[in-house]
Amino acid sequence: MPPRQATQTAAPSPPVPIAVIPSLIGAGLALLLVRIAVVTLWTSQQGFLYSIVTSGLAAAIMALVVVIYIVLPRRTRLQDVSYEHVTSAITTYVVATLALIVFSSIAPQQWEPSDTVLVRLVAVVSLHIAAVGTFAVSIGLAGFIIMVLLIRRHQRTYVLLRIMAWMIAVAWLSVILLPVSEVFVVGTILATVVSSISLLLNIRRMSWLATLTLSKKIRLFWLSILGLFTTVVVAPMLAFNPDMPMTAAMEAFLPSGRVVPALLTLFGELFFSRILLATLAAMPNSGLVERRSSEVEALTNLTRKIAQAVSLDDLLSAVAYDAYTMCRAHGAWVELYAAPGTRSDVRVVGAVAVGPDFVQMVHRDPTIDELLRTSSGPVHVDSVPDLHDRQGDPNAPAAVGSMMSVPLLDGSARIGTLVVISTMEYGLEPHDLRLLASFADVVSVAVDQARLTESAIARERMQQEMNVARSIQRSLLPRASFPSQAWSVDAVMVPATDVGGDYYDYIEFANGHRGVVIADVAGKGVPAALYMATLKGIVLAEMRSALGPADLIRRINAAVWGSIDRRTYITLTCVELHEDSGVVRVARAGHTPMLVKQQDAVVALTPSGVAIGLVAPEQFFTLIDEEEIDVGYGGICLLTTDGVNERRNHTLDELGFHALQQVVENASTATASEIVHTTLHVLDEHGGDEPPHDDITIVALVYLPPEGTS
Amino acid sequence: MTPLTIDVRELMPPDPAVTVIRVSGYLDAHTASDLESTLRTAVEGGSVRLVVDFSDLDYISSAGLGVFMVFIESVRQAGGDLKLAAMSDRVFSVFDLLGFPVVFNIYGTTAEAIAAFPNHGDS
Repeated sequence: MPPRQATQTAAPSPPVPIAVIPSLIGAGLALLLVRIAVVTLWTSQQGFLYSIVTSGLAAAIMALVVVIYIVLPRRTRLQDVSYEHVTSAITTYVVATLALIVFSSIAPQQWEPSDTVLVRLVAVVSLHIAAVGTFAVSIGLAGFIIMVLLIRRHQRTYVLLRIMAWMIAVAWLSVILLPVSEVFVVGTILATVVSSISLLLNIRRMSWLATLTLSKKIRLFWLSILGLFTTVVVAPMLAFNPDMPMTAAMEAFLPSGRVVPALLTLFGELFFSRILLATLAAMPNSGLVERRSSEVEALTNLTRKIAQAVSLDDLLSAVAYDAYTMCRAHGAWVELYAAPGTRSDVRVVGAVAVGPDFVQMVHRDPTIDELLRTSSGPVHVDSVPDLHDRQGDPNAPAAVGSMMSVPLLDGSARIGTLVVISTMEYGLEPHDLRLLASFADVVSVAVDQARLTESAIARERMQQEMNVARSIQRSLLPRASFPSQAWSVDAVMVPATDVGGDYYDYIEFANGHRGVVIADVAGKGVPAALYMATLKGIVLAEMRSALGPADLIRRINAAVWGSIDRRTYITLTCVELHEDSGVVRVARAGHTPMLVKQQDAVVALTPSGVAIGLVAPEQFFTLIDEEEIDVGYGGICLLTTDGVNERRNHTLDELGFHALQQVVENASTATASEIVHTTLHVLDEHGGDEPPHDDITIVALVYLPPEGTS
Repeated sequence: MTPLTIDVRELMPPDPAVTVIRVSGYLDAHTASDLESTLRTAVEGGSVRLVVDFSDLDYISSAGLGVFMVFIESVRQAGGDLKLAAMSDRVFSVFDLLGFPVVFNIYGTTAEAIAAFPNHGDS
C-alpha cells in the first residue's frame, strides 16, 4: 500500500535487526576472551607468531567496537539533538575517562612470567579492560563530535569527515612504519595537522548556543571546561607518555593502536575549546535572549487568552495576571474609567495580589491618581517616595515602592490603565515597561474588535428596526385608491433614507367633499418620520370637523403649535375636490406651489400662507388664504414636495419647477398614474446616479371627462 | 461642490454692535449645520443683534432653512433680532414660499438691516 511505502521511505535508515548487536557483542567478547587466554597462557610472549595473533585479535576487537558503536540503535534522530544530549554526552565522556584513568592506575597490569596463572589472568584482564575501555571511550567521543557536526551539516561536512578518517589511517600507518624509518614521523605529524584543520573547518557557527538561556550556557561552559581539561590530560598522555598505565595498557594491547584514541582525544580537545569559546562569546547576549524569549512567550500566551476570553473583564484579568508574573511584581491590576475627569469612578478589574480597597487607597494619593489617569504613554516610577519628595507631597502610600503603568486605549479614547507595583523601590525592571506597553496594544486591538462586533450587531438590529419602521410608515399612506368617479388620483412617496418626513393622504371634509393633503416635515429620517405619524393622526382627527382646506390647515397648526420642536416646521397643501364640477379649493401652508392645467394653460397656485409650526395660531389664522379654481374636464393638478423640484444632479443643478410645468403641459390625455410615472421618469433622467437628498412625493389629480365624451 | 463659507464680522457703530454673518456658496441640509454652529457661537457669545447677509449665496434648499428657526425666539427674548438681508430673488422666493417673511425681518441690503436695529441713543 502506498502509505506504508511512504513511511518506509521516510525512515532515515533501515533498522538494524536486534539480533545482530548481541551477536556482534558476543563475537567481540569471545575474541577478547581468546586474546586474554592467549596472552595469559603464551608464557614466552615473544616471537613473530605471538605478535601476529595478538595484534590481529586486537585489531579485530577494535574493529568490532567501531562496528558495534555504529550499529547501536540511536534513540534520538539527528534533528532532535539538543542541549540535553550535548551536556549528557560530555558528562558521560568525562566520567568514563576519569574512571578509566583511576581504574588503570589501581588495577595491576604488570606481571612476570614466573607469576601464577591466576595473578597473570587478573593483570591481563585489567589491562584488556583499560585498553578496550580507552578505545571505546575515544570512539564514543568521536561519535559525539560527528553527531554535533551533522546537526549543522553543510556541503563539505562529509568530505571533511572522510579526510579526517583517512588521516587517522595515515597516522596509524606512519606509526606502524616508524620502526622502519624515522621519516614516517613526518606522516604522523602531517596527518595530525591535516585532520585537526579538517575538524576546525567542519565546525560550523554554533548558533544553537546563542538561543540558550543563561543558566544553560553557564552549565555548558563548565562542562566544556571539564571536557577540555580531560582531553588536555588524556591526549598527550596517550600520544607521548608510554609510562602512564592507560597508555601502557593500550601499548600492550596493540603497540601502534594508541594513535587512534590519541588523535580522537585531540579532536575532542579542539572541539571542547570551540564549544568553550562559542559559549563564552554567546554569554553576553544571554539576558537579551532570555528576555526576548519570555516576552514572546508572554505575548503568545496573552493572544491565546484573548481568543478564549468570553468577556472584556476576563481578558483584562488575564492581562493583569500576566503582567504580574512577567514583571515579578507584588501587585497588578487593570483599572477602567467610566468617564474621564471624574474621581470616584475607578473600576478595578482582575486585581492580582492586591484588593480593590488597596487600589482605591493608591488613588487617594493625588500625585499617583493624576499620573495613572492622565499619562499619555507608559510610565515607570522607580521610586514612589522619591517622586513624592520631588512633588513636595509627604503622603506617599507606604506600600508602593515602585510602579509602572500603561494607558489602555479604545481607538484614541482612554478607557483605563494597566498598573503593576512593587513594594520595593527600584523593584521593577525598566525593560518590562516595553512588554507592558505591548500588552496594552494587544488589549486595545481586542477592545476595538469587541466594539466592532458590538456595533455590527447594533447596526444589524438598527437596520431591522428601520425596515419595520419603513413598513409602518408605508402603512400610514393610503392603500386604497381615491374613492371618486370624477377624479383620478394617484400618488407616490419615495423616502431618501429608510423612513421619511413626507406625507400625503386622502381625506373627507365635514361638508362631504373629498380631498387630498400633501405635507413635508422639515428634515428627514426618524425625527421627521415621527412628526409625519403625528401629523397623520391630527389630519384624521381634524378633517371631519374641518369646513375646508384653509380651516383644516388652521386646525392642524393649532394642534401642532406648542408641541412641535421650535426649529421644525411642516409645509402642507390641502386640496378639496368637487365631485360634480371641476372645482378645486386649495390652501397652502408654506408648501411648494400646486401646478394646475386648465385647458392649455399651466398655472402655479400659491395662495398665501406660512408653514405649520412657525407662528402662533392667532397670527397663523390671518395668514392662510384659500383659492378656488375650476379646472374643467381633463384638468390636471400636480402636487409635489420640495424633494421633487430641488432634486439635484451631479452638477448640483436642480430640476426646478419649469420641468414639472413641462410634464403637466404635455400630459394632455393622461391618467393620474401616468402623470406620476412621467414625473418619476423625469426625476430619474435628471438625477442620474446622484442619490436623492430629500424625500420625494408626487400626487397627481385629473378631473375625468364624463363617460362617452372624449 | 461649492461648500458654504461663513464670514462673521462685528460692526460698531451702531451701539451695541451688530454681528453680520455673511454666507456664500451652498446652503443646504448638509451645510446648514455649519451655519448653525456659527450662529450658536455668536448667540452664546452674547450677540443678540444679528444680520445674515445673503448677497453672495449661490444656492439655498428649503431643507437648510430650519437653522434660522433655532435661534429667532431666544434672540428676540434677549431683546435682539435675527435679520435677513440682501437676498437674491431666487433665495427670497424659497423663504417666501414657506412664509418666512412673516417670522423674519427681511431687508433689501445689509445696511438697511443694520440701520433697522435701535441705536443706543434712540429711545
